[in-house]
Parts: sequence; structure tokens; C-alpha cells
Amino acid sequence: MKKSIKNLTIISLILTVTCFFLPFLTFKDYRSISGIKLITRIFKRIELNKLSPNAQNYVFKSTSLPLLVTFFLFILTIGLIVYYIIKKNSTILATAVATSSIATVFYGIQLANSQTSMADFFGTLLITLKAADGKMIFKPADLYVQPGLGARLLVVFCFVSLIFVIALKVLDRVEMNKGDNIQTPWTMALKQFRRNKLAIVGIFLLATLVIICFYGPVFSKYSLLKTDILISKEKPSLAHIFGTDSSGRDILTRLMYGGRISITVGFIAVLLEVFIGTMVGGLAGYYGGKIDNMLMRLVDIFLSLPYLPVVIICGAIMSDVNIDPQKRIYFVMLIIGILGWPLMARLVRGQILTLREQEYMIAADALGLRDRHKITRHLIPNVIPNIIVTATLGIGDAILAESALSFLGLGVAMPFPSWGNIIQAVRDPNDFVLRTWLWIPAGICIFVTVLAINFVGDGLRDAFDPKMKK
Amino acid sequence: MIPIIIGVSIIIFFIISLVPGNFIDAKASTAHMTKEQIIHLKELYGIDDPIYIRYFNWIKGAIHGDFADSFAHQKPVSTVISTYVWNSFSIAIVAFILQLLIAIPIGIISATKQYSKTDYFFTVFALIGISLPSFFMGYVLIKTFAVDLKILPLGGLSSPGSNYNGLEFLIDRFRHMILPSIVLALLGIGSMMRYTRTAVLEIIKQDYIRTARAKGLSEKVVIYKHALRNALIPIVTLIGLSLPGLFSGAIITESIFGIPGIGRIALDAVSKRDYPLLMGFSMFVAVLTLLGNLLSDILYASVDPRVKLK
Repeated sequence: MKKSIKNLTIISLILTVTCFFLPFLTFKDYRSISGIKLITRIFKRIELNKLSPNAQNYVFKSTSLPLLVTFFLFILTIGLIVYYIIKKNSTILATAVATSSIATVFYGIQLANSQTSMADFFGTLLITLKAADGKMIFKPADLYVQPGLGARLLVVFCFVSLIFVIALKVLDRVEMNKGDNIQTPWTMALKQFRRNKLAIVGIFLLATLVIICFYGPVFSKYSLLKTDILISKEKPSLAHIFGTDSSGRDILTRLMYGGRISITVGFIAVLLEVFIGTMVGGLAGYYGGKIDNMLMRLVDIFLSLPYLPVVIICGAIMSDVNIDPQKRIYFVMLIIGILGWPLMARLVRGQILTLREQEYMIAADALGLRDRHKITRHLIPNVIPNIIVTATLGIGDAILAESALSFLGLGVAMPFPSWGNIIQAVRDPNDFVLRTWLWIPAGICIFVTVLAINFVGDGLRDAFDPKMKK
Repeated sequence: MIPIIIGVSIIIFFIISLVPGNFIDAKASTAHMTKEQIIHLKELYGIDDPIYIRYFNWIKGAIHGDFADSFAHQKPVSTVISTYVWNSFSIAIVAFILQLLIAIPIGIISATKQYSKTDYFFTVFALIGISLPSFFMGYVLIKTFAVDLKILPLGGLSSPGSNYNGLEFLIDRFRHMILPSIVLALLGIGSMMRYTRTAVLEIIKQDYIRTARAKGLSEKVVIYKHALRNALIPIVTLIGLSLPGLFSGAIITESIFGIPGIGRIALDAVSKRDYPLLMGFSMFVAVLTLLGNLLSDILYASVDPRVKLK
């Protein structure tokens, strides 16, 4: 049983990876782009291949940094599989699946962004095939291309392997639990977390939303930016499940893209908060004295800044300077992150101040460990649970802040959607009263996402807090 | 406190001065003004001075209580703020009382019945309150109660064209305040309820509660006399922390409900590029935050006999 699952996992993994790799490999024959050239071109963000004028598609049109990441992840996955075949180890297999899943996410985004699919890719390849007399073998009309087919295949393969590995892990766990079981703080927290029904519901909600937002566009036949005034503000129907917006764009598609932007903004902003906060808090807590005093005054100043007014003023500045809408998204992340770090810094500093006086730190001192070692190996790991909890709850706050800013028209700007700026439709009194499908779904999306994040954060807090034990 | 206020003022002043374009140019594009008038006005307001000179001028005035004149309102900033702040406060205080009345009891109940169905119910309720975006909730409430059911007014603080006196005025005012207060209260209930729950839970785990139970006291006395009194300490400091904030206005809620409060004025000031008002408002909020911190520290020391000031 277990062995067959293992074999199936490897087969599906190999299939996934080869699926991923095919377009990359064919680049080599196709207008002679070598691997190195590909990578350098990706760095230069050159649109890789404009396909034949008949089929107006680009194979990989969108920004190429994610593509590069995907590329390296594929290589890593292949390496891991090869390593696994040599040395059987379930951890390696799990890592392989993890890297390939991350790669799938990136790849799916790429496919969706470029509004193309592998079927498109091969279809257009076939168009370029020419017979000896220079005539095309396949006419463009012969090739019925269904967008997103390749991506769908990829997703299916990847999820199959993911399911296999989860089954494998569960079987392993069952086997392990037969023998002795050692409890580390992390496994205890995990156990506590699993008992919390709300948190589990939150995880599932969040996972579903993320998958829908990041994968959904691949399945959608509508484009993000293409407008069609003729069908503007249409009622929900089978073709447009949530109707269309004022420019005739499919709202469901925009919701999915918007969710992608909103969630990414929240996540990156919090990552920034954690990075700056941990650094400042860690330095202040560990070194104390003058450094502590100076850094904490800075934290006090930032904490006293009125959050919403400052965010709104920054948004107004962005509107005035006429920042490119795509770059605005990054600036929104930056603003929310920079205003959010002081709380994290204060938390980390407080924790480190108490931890510094613990016996094991005296032991670390006595062993003559270096500062770097003491901070990274002994102090930071003990602060991580708190950071995780605060960061999780912070993502929800960041999403709310972003949506408020975009709602006021100062955050993510048209034509790029975010859940907040989709709700802007509400400002038209007619739409507000008569066409509720324009704004209610986006509001519910924000609400459900933030609620799910709060469920998870709450569950994590209870799980990590020894006082909260049943 | 004073260095922090100065630091905050420097940062806000710097951010605001990053805004390109100014009030005079904005006005000149709509109203007809001659070039001389524009130059004269710019000189009058000191718009073309370098940033540090403008900052020193501003802070020199601020020390004397003069926060410059609002461009858009043509009145001193302090007058503008003191005119509109009471509208904000009246709604905020109602919301705050509502919030206390709901959050503290349900916090206590869910702490005493930790991990029961009631606890889960209240926790979900609290988290829903935290997770709702205020603007969305505001619009949904207006849509259901004002547009569909037509039982409450759309927004504002009084019915347009009405000339009520006495009791009628109060009733009219009250009807206008229901929806915004509900929005503001719902936003705050969540965190306050969670805070109360944690505070009570922490106390319940203490030894003296076990002793009280061991003495054979009824559960009611244990919770409401022994536990609650101690749990109130952090709650009282939280109240102290949030009291000054009641004056700072709610930008989004006020602008949705069309309430002429300080938050809405600030949002208007952003679109009108009215720097003195923005600067004054931001400093006002920052000082209120600091006051809140101070108040909660003082309350903590006076309520908790274990804390002794040296």
C-alpha cells in the first residue's frame, strides 16, 4: 500500500515537472533561444516570443521574475527527485512536492497573467510549421485553442502528487506513533491548534480563497483589462456569474485578480513589518542601553503617528506624483509595512528583554557563544511563536488597511483591481441602490478573508500560549 | 512626551510637504486670479519657502497655540477642529458606551465558560466585528435600514430642512446617530471582548481563585467578587487608553454617513490639499494618542495597589 503510493507520488511528480518543463525545453528549438539567453532575457524583462501575427498571443508576456523563480524551482524539484530515487527518504519527497507546488503557484500566475496556455503555446508552434513549399501545414482556424487547458492539467498533476504525499505523511505518522513519541513545543502547539475547530475552518477558508484567487483566473475566459462598454453593468448571469462592472469587465475575474493583489499586498506588507520590527526590536532588546533608548524613542514616535491620516496623505501623494498603477501596488505595500513595524519591534524587544535574563542565556554566556549565535540560535527561536501570531493577525489588518485606502481611491488604482477599489462602485448612488452585485461580492470577499485570517491567528495564539491549555 | 511630539510633527510635516501642488495653484485653476495675485498669496502663505523654514514658522506658532489658518475654511485650524470635534465626539461616546456594555459582559461570560459553545459563539461574533471593513459595513447598513426598510435616515446629523426644537431635535439627532454608532461600536467590540476574556482568564487561573473556591464560595461570588475586581484593572486602563481617542474622529465612517465630524473634514482637507488643517489634525490625533497612553499609565498606578510609583 505504502510503497505503491510512494511510486505513484514519484510518477505524478515527474509528470508535473516534465509538464512544467516542456515550454522551457522547446524554447531551445524555437527561434533558437538557449537556456542562458533565456535567463538573461528574463532578467531584462524582454517579452520572450511574439508568436505569429495570426494568433495574437505572447507565450510569456508578463513580468519575468516569477518565471525565473519557477525555473529554478523546477530544477530544484528535479534534483530532489533524483536524490530521492538514490536515497529513499520521505522528507526529501515532501520537499520535492513542496517546491513543485510553489512552482505551480508561480507558474499558474504566469499563465494567467499572459492569458495564454500550454495548448496555445503548442498550437502556435504548430502554426509555424511549414511544408516544403512554404505553405503552412496547419491553418490558424484549424487550431481550436482552449485557454488554460495546460494550466488545468498542471494543477491536477500537482494536486494529485500533493494528496499522495499527504497520505504518505499520515501513514508515516501512524507508524511513528506506534513507537515512543517525543513532544517538542512545536508538536504540542500543533496538537493544540488542531483541536481548535475555528482555526481549522479558517485554514480551509483561507486555502480555498487563495487557490481560487491565484488559480481562478487561469480558468476564466475573460481578460482582466479588456473593456467592453456594450455589456457594462450587466446583471449576474450564467456567462458572468457576478455580472459585469462599469467597463464591461467580468466581475468574478476581477474579484479573483483583486484578491490576488489584496492578499499579496497584505502578505508582503506584513513580511516587511516582521523584517524591520524583528531587526529593530532584537537589536534594542539584546544590546540595551543607549541603542535601546534611541531605537525605542523612534518606535514611540512611529507609534504615535496617526495611522489612517498618514496612510491617506501618502495615498494622496501617490495620486499627485502620478505613479504608474502597477508600481502603486508596491508603494501601498511599502506604506502599510513601514507604518506597521513599530508594534512588532516593541513586541520582540519585550520578549528578548525577559528571555535575556533566563538561565539558559547565562549558560550560553558561560559557554562563550558569539553574539550572532546567541541571537539567532537561542533568542530568536523563542520569540518566533509570538511573531507568527502577531504577523498572522497583522495580515488581516493590512488587508483591511489596503482595502480602505483603495476604497478611498488612494490605494491600488484602476485598471488594476483590488477588493477595496471594486467596492468604489458603491459611490455611484444608482449602483449603490440598484446594482448591488457591483460591490457586495467584493465586500464579502474582504470580510471572509480577514475573518479566516483572524480565526487562524486566534487559534495560533491559543496554541502557542501555555496558559491557554485546556 | 515632548520629544515624541516634536518627532511626530517633523515626520508629518515632511510627509505633507512631499505633496506636490498647493492650495493656491489648485484654487487658481478654478477661480480667475492674476499672476500678481497668485504670487502675492504664495508669499502671504509662505508656500515657496524651503521646508525647514516653513517647519520652524509652524512650530513657532504652535508653541503659542497658533496652528495657522486653514486654507479651505479661512479660519484658524484650532477653531476648525474645535467646531467639528464635538460632532465626532457625540457619536464616538455613544459608540464607546455601547461597546463597553456589550464587550465586557460577553468577555466575562466567554472566559468563565472557556471552550464552551457560548464561548465559541461570542468569539466568532467578536472576530466578525474585527474583520468587517467599516466602509462595507456602513454601506450595507445604509442599504438595508435606510434604503430598503426606510426606517432610518441616510446620513448626516439632522434631517435636511428640518427646524426641530427641544425633544424633537434630540429624537431626530438620535435617529441619525444609530447607524454610525453601531458601525463604530462593532469595530471596537471584538478587540475589547477578547481583551476582557484574556484578562478574566488570567485571573481565574490564579491561586487565590482556587482558594476562594476551596472555601466553598458560590461560583457567582468567586467570579463577580474575587475575579472580576482584579480583571477590571487591565480593562480600566484600556478604557483610559481609548478615552482621548474618542475625540479623534473616524475618517471612513464619518465620510460614509456624511457626518460633519473632524474625520470627514480631514479627508476633505486631503482632497483640497489644505496642509495647515491636515498638519493640525494629525498633531491633534498624535497628542490624543499620547494622552491616552499617559492616562492609562496613571489609571494603572492608581487602580492597582501593587504598582507603586517611586
